[in-house]
Amino acid sequence: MRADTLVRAVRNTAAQPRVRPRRRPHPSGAAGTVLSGLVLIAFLVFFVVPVGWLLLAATKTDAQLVRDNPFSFGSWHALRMNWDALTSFQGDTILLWLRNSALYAFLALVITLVLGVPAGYAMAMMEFRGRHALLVITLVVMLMPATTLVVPLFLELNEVHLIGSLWSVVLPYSFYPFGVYLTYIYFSTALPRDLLAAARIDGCTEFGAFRRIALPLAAPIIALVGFFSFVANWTNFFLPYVMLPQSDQYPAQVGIALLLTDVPQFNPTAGTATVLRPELALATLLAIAPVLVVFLFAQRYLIAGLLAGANKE
Amino acid sequence: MSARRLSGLLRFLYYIPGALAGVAGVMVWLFMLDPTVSPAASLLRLLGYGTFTAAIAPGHLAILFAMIAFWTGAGGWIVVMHGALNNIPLDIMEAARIDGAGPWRTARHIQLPMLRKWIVYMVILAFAAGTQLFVEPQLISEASLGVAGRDYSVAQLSYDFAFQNNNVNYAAAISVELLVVSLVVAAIFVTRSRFFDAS
Repeated sequence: MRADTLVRAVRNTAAQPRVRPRRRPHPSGAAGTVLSGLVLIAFLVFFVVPVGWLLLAATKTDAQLVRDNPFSFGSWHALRMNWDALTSFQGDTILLWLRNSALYAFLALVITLVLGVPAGYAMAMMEFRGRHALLVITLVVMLMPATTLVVPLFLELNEVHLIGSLWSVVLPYSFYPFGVYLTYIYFSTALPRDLLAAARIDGCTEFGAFRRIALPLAAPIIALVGFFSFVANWTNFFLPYVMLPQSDQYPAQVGIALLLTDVPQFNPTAGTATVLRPELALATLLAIAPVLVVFLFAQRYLIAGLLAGANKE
Repeated sequence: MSARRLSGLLRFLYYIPGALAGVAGVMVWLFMLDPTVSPAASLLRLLGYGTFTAAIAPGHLAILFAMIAFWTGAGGWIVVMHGALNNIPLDIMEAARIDGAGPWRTARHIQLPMLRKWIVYMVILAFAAGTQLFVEPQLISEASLGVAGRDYSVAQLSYDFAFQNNNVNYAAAISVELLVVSLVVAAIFVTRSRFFDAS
């Protein structure tokens, strides 16, 4: 899902916090119930089977992968073997890639929040020259396709000799107009100005009002911005693929793409250092594990929280 | 399990492939399309694709990329549309029921029109994502035993011009074209659907 889809949802819920009683399902015939049940199950199979298969594939040997039932569990021993083989690929390089991914995504997350949240707050709560122009620019940049910006970004960073350094991905990642816009919408629609005025009367400085009143109230929105920033940066492929030429700087996404070229079944010209398919499956699992964990923790917000709309169940 | 819990659980499960956006999703689908290991091998053989190369023949690529994009992205939109459906005022739904509208008629004449803006929004973003296709064809071309080329998508072409042929100007021209196409299509959808009308 594209993160921008939330803008309107946030605006809706923030602007009109109403509570409605639960909606009763429309009474429909048995045929309708069966039909919708079948559709739901078909989608469930389509979405979940590949993920389940991937989990099981990491526990098998390559021979088991071909021979056994696709949904059988291999063995802990095979999992262990796959892990050993994977980590011995270019000497622990998979762990280095994961560390790189974590470092890039985390640094970008910190910079995004430190810069983006105050920017959204200032545009929502303060009057200054150029405010409107800034807001329009934020919106336009937010809607620009990221792919079209990769070449100009490369030229720009090349000019300041940052290509190949970690900043060549962290700085573009940290440029996150969507986060600014989301916090802007929240502060401008949901934060009562009286609250800030009261804080100032009680002796809060401008910064104190932001830190003690606005920030704690905006915690769910900040968490949401952090979630989308982290997931988007962790799963990005094109930018690091272009910016980082050395394989020891790769994030996990680019790393597993490199592993793919060493799998003989997918690339017969693979060299001698071959990677077996279960090892590739395990590497893919490792590369998505942090995002899956974040998903599990963010599930309440994402599924039951903001997006459930005004008629919260 | 109550219907509400079940609905929440299903939405979460549908959303999980979103965590595999990018390279991971392509890896998964490479396996799914390889009849020697795929859990859907019998389905692939039924369709006449006995080998990996046959399954990813160049003529299939558009459908395969659409399927991968749907697999990783649809769950998020299901969550969004669920929220939007819950935002339809209850009195309207109540009035439709009193007037004798069944589920189909309610969906066709009440819910779909009221979701119009969300649907337009989804179409624009999904289209924009499609025009920016890069990682999927790039990986398929690396893994396809030479079946798929390195110049399948516009973004790949731009990449090759900039970083293989050192022709940044061509790459920039392609990027601008991509931008124009996205903007024009978005503008058409926005105007045709009266996206900015106050409802």
